[in-house]
Amino acid sequence: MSQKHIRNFCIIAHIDHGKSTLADRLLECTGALTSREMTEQVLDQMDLERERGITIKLQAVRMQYKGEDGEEYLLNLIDTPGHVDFSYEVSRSLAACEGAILVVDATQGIEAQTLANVYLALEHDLEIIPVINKIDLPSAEPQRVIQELEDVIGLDCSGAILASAKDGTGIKEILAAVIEKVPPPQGDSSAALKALIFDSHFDSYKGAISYIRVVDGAVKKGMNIRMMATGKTFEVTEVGIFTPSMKIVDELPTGTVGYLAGSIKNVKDTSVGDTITSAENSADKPLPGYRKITSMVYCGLYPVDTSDYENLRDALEKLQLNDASLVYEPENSVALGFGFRCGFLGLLHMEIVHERLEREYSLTLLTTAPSVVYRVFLTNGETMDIDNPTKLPPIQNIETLSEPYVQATIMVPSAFVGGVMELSQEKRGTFINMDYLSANRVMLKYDLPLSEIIYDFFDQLKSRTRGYASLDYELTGYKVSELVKLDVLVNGDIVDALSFIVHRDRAYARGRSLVEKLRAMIPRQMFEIPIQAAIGNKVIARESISALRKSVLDKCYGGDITRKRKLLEKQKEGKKRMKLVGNVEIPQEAFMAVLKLDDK
Amino acid sequence: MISNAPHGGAAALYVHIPFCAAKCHYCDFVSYVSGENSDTQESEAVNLYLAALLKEAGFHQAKVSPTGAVIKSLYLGGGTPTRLTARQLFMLLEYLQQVFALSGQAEITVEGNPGTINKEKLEALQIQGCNRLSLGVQSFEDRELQALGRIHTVQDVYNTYNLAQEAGFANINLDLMYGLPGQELSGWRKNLRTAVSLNPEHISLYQLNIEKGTPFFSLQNKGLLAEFEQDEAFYMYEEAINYLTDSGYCHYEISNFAKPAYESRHNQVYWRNQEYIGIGAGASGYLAGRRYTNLAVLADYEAMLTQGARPLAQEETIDTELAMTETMFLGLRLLEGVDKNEFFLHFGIQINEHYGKAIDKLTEQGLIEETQNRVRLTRQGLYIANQVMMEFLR
Repeated sequence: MSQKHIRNFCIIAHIDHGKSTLADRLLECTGALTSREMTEQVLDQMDLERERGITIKLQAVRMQYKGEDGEEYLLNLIDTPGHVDFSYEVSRSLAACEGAILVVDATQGIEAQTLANVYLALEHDLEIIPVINKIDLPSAEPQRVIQELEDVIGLDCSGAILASAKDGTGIKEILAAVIEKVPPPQGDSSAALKALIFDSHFDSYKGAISYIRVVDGAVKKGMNIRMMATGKTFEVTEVGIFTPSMKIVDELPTGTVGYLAGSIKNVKDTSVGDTITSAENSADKPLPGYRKITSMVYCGLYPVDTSDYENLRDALEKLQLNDASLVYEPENSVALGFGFRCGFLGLLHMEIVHERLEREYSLTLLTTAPSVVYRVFLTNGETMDIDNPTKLPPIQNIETLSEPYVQATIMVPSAFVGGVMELSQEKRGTFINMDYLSANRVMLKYDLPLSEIIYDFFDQLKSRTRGYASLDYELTGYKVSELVKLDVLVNGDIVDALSFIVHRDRAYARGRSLVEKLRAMIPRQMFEIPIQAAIGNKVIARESISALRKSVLDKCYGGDITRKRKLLEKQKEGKKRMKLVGNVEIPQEAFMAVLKLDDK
Repeated sequence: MISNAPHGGAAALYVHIPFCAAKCHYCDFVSYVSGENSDTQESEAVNLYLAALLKEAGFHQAKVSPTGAVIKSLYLGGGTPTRLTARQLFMLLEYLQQVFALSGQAEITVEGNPGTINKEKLEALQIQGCNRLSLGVQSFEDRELQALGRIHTVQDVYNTYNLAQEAGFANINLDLMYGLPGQELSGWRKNLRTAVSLNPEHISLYQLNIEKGTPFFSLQNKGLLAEFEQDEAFYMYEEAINYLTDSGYCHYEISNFAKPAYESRHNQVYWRNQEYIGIGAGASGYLAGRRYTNLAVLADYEAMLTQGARPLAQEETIDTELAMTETMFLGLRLLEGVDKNEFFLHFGIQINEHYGKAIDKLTEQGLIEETQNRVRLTRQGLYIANQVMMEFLR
């Protein structure tokens, strides 16, 4: 098939606007999957994605489709996540495409990630095909939404397609638009191989699998390739495409999307964003890679059973291959022993990594309170960045402390503007501006400390706007702030994993609230346990957990010993999931308690 | 524990009667309200069940051994066995004793609800050799009985107790509950005093537990029923132990008190990890190294037996390691503890060799103590026995 019959495109959308359903329909319509193979959210292969109804990982799939001109086209779809945390995944798939279908919910209109994703797509010079989805719903207002797209983004919507991924309306039109509007790949088939690695995963049999977009030249089995960043060479053992399951082909020609395996044992040898070239006939310049990702949130990940440290390291290494945005390095906690400091794109990302590690690698882990990266200006003139509150130098060595700020874009029906402003004030935000998107929808911009965003801003925003608000943010820089480190003492000893940095005005309330929370979360043990919150040497809050007085199973009805044993086993299981710190057993959730405090 | 005796070596027989006049608010046992079966009238449903029960008994029919009977205890539990009519009780015990080889001195216990017992039933039980009555008294406060959803009054308890004594019952157990909603230590003391004043041979105590699926559970979920304060429950338990032992009762098992020589033989079969047969809907048994639980839904239970199959819901083989675990956590329930020699004779390994680490740790924590021949709970260990037992789990 010639290069001009290839189309590489992705779908971008705000979360819940129907992206995965649309992808399902496209696969069905092109016959890529028979209806027997078809499940809902077919590209969301992780259990976690299906359970939560979201896309976490990008997925690629090849479809064949006969266009209106009667010719066969090869369509490569790259499905992308919609949540703000995963915009990095989005930008990676954009780099492998020439066009993007922009899906907007006809009942909702533009949301924060719609905007963010469109800007990303424009940055990559992608052809955008606007699709107004869910027009089957009685509350759909396609004309209003089109107007918003034109007014706010300045997108030409004359060709916007009205669709319903649910009932199949507009699907053929979308496929026709992809063929007609998305330009074919431009690469030079006679030039030296240049292929962009946009994703990867680890296969126990084949080694690291690189997901590639062939930009120039072609790649086939038996070829010797070189990774341009590391200079390492490998022999290609297999090339293939996604149907969406992996299918071996002879060759990946210019402009195509597929995968490549080469007995690459070390995960680090196939880094996302790197360019693959031919070992014999090398390209002189690599493709522009990706902007380096910035981790927004850090936390410690520790195995509950200390002997699982090695397993955790292996698991992180393998997961990182699947999730290039995950960064980690070993760290040591007095309370928790050996673990890893991990950087994440946001809290959802953190939660998902934790869950994937536990599920896919059968580990029992605990995460410490998440922290942003604080910048410390020392009295000796040096500066240091710390991603872990325990690394904060002694107070007398600190000149000033500063924290990361973001510019937050919030879109909300105008009725909720007051509530959003109030919330942003409470969260130490500074108002930047406000725009009317339409008569009753508003876009607000605020300068906000990132730490407040990761704390509970999003939850609060959702609850104060009855779920109508959407949020996007980008890092803008650092600002000096009145910050203090709050320590927690359990049974008289500081538990480093519970320390956090907080604005001075909040310290007392959060300390109070945290010790109360911990008192409720830590079960009674054989002795009384005092719990204190302290700033430096000053204790600001204290609670105590009384000793366990009575824990005994009573009567045994009808001799049901098995039931008795199961109860004991359950208790013991609960005990095993707790971390022994000093001689106190602390449940996993306690380390996250700091996230669930009410600011009173 | 290992024997070639009839009934596969079972030392006891438990028979479940899953019928009640009404379901109590805290009850999550297998029991169904049988409105139609009353003192004077039998319902078809109950008779069908009894027929099924005897079919199940047939599976365990004695391969009669020349040495005779070994079953040391027969226990009719529920539900409410005394919900049956006098005739039903009489016939049931008659058949059971025909099917199973009971020892001459077997303990035969019937559980009863004071609201469902009359002279006629007591006489039927006496004739069939029933020598122990266990009364679900729960409380000596009408207010508390009502709150629990019990169908009887305090007066019913006195009447039934006198009736039972007159009928010749010389071994009576009273079940009492503590930690009831709104109950205070003073109220509990009064209940204990009243119980002791009746001079029963045996007293069982247990703390009200809020179990899933009960009316109390949904109340608690709605925030209408506070969880009982642990410290308060502790004081009640401690008070009971002190008062009852001072009153001449021997505290022989975590929840059980008896006058000397009146320790329940049935429950000791469980605590000594011996095998027993359980029949009836939802009943459990332990036979030939396997623990089983029967189907709980009457229709399923009966249908299975009609098809000529055992009505099993689940069955599990207890391997040696698990048997050791069970021997420990069951045996520790007895205040005398686990017999080291018996453990060795049965498992071929010394208790200290197999559980040395756990025993050392718990001894150091002051939760268990060792004598020449036994490992047992200390007073402190008794209160938090779960913490101790967990250590012997795999």
